[in-house]
Amino acid sequence: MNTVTTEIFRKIRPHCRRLGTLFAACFFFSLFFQIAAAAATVEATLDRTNISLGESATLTVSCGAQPQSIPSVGPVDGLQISFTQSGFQQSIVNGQVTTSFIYSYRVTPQRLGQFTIPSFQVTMNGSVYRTSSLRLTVEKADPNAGAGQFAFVRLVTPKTEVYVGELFPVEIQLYFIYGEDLQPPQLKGEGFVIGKQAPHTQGKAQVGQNIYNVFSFKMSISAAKAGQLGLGPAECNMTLRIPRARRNDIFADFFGGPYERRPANLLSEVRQINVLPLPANPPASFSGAIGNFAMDVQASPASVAVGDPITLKFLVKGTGTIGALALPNFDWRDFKIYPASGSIVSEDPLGLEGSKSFEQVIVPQNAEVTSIPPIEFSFFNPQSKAYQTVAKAAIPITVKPAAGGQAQPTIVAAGAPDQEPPPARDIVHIKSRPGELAFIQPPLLVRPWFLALQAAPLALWLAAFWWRRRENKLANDPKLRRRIETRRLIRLGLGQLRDSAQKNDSDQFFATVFRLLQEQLGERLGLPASAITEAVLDDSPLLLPHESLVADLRELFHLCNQARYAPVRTSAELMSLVPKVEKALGSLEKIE
Amino acid sequence: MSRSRAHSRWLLLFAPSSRWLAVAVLSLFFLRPVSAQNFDRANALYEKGDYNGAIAEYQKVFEAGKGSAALLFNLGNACFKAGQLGRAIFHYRLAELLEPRDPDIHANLMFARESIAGSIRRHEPRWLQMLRNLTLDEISVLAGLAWWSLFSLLGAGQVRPDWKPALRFYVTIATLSSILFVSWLGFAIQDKVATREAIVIVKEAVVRYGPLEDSQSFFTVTDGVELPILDHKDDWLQISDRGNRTGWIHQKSVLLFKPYAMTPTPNPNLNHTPPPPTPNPTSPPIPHALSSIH
Repeated sequence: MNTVTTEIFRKIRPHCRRLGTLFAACFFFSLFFQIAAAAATVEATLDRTNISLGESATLTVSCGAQPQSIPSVGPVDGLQISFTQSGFQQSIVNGQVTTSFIYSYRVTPQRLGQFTIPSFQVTMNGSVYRTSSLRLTVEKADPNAGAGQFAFVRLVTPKTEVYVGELFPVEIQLYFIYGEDLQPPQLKGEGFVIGKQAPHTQGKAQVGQNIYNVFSFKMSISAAKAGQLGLGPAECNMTLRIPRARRNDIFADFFGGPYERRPANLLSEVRQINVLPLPANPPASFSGAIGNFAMDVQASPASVAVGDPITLKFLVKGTGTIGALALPNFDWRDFKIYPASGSIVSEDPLGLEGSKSFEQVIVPQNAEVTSIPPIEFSFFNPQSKAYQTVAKAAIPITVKPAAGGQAQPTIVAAGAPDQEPPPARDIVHIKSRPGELAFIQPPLLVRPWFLALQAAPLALWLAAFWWRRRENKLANDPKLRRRIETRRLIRLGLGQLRDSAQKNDSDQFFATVFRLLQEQLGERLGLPASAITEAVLDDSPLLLPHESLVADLRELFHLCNQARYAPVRTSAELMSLVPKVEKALGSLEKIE
Repeated sequence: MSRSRAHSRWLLLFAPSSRWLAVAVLSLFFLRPVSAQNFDRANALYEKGDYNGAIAEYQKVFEAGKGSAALLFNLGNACFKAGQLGRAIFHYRLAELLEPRDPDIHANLMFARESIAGSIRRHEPRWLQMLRNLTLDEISVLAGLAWWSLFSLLGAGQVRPDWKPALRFYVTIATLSSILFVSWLGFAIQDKVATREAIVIVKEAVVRYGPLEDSQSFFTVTDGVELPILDHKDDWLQISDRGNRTGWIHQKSVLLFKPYAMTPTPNPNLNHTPPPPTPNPTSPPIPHALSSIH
């Protein structure tokens, strides 16, 4: 067996090598292809958007492909930007290869204020890409904040006055010198709702005489009620590693290590936020949007028949509560209006900037419609502290009568045209028929009869397979086939013997005995049945060791010969011979 | 809509699932008119604007152990109108399992989901929508038919070897069909049977850091939000939200969406669906049978 296996392995080994090479080539080809095909994008991020004077922020430029040269950032008045390092990052997620070339810069402010790092360009694969601009706020350093501490937390809010529902960013900055087991920070704030959270960033900063590791957690937040509300404190739990004081105890240094681990519960200061209510009397088309937005509307197709759908595509883009944007209610009598669907594209990880697109299907109800009515979208702009409305003029369309019939008139209740409720954006109405009310059943997959039913074809196929193998075996083995055939003949012949004995048919009885002996001996000795006579008992080496069997067979042959000359025997005598015949044939079948 | 229904009927004609057979047989022998009367009464209450009354009447049909997609749809509508967004979504989703090609159910489910404050529309790829177009039973029957065809052809090839060349093409088709439908069935089991979600049914539910009332609150979720369940402990469920924040929510604030309970006696901890504390005092509890409706 081992030889056969080795031989098989020897034969297939070259093919395996070829296949292995092929697979490896395919893998690397796909890797290369995916790297080459990966969308070349550029992203610039700051590890912190608020820092104190004297600290440095880290600007990271992540490129989807290798740039022709190191991206050139700045200069920005008041900021010193210097390149620090570059790196290469590759990740494979679900077979998708993502490659990034990372360039880091240290941004050190030289004065207080708000700075904008303008968009800069990066050339990759012969194409020019631009980053988005970045904002950095530099505040006056608090001489007491964190000075001399091993760790502290800062809560940074760019605004102290916001409107109810207005989305604004919040940053929790955790400073520590040495630490571990860092838990995500928890921000307390009665009356505030935390929105999206961005992945945390980390860097280093100098405060006083110490160099700190800085973890920055950014999130968007909105106020749910008006009033003077306290935001914070932000709470961080971690284990600090505090250097031990120098001792001359070598054993304590050896077993305790140079650091002492101390759990720390760090709290930031509480920020007071003045939350203003939205002004009264909003426009009719105001549906809760707060921020600054622009809207575009497109309708297609512009030419339809009565009853055909027109898709209105809205694109609302801007800064603010993108996720909560909703379309105003359209009270258009001449259109049937279906529920709109919306999708969001965020342009920043906090969901503060981006676009939301809506698809609204409307169906004109009569051929008199010539345009889609003007569309207005209102929002509250916190910067201008006023409601603003953007409008789209009426969109001309052509509505033809429905094919094969007259234009469907608008059905108006007689005498009360104004009482007809306009089509509203609502759920589809209830169904008037209950359908087939059935008893609650488990799924088919867990019902035994269904599972048994699936086992049946497998069982039938296995039966057919076994039957076919047996047929093939018989076809290829004449000895086995003859043995089975002989067994069948003997089974039938023994029955005939009993019949002949009962009928007292001596001639038939002994003729059957003789035939059965011929069949069984012929099968055992590999001779034709017709060639078997009593003489084979003397010549066959197979029978030599079985003397008693040969004696029994000889007696039976003798009786058969006797019967030719003295056939008359009683039924009882014939019946008494049947067991002898059975025994002799049985013994004969067993010899090998 | 009509095209989809026609397609549905065609499929049911050629691949009648046991549910439909059961419905046909049971309709002949066991269907009691009282269920239909309750349904009509509930519809009348709905039209009058008595949504809580309608909910109670629809529930009576379920108490008799019967259900249908239309009943669940109407119950979802009544819940929606009564301001019970989470319960509406729960019933629409159950209805969608029974009639995945019904555009009305799909539209209302989408509308209810978009009614949740700050909701983001779920974008499903086209192929995923197509895969979800059949019920679990319909896919089971199709997989069963393909399985039967394959082994019948293989069996015929064993009985009559001279037919093998002629059968080869059909065996290939049956093999590919079997692989396709069995894979589809595997996906459906993963998608529909293994689904364990909690649907929030109170105006605002607190998600805590740990499974204790004293544990610090992490964030809040609003009525109708669907949250995948990760674990459970006593009366608490560990969930995660779209922002991958993981926390613990109390069972009393949610309905468990576990439609195809594979065990006859589900875990009482996970299947216990008490009514909400006081979102609507007249709202009746959801019967346990709904959690395994088929």
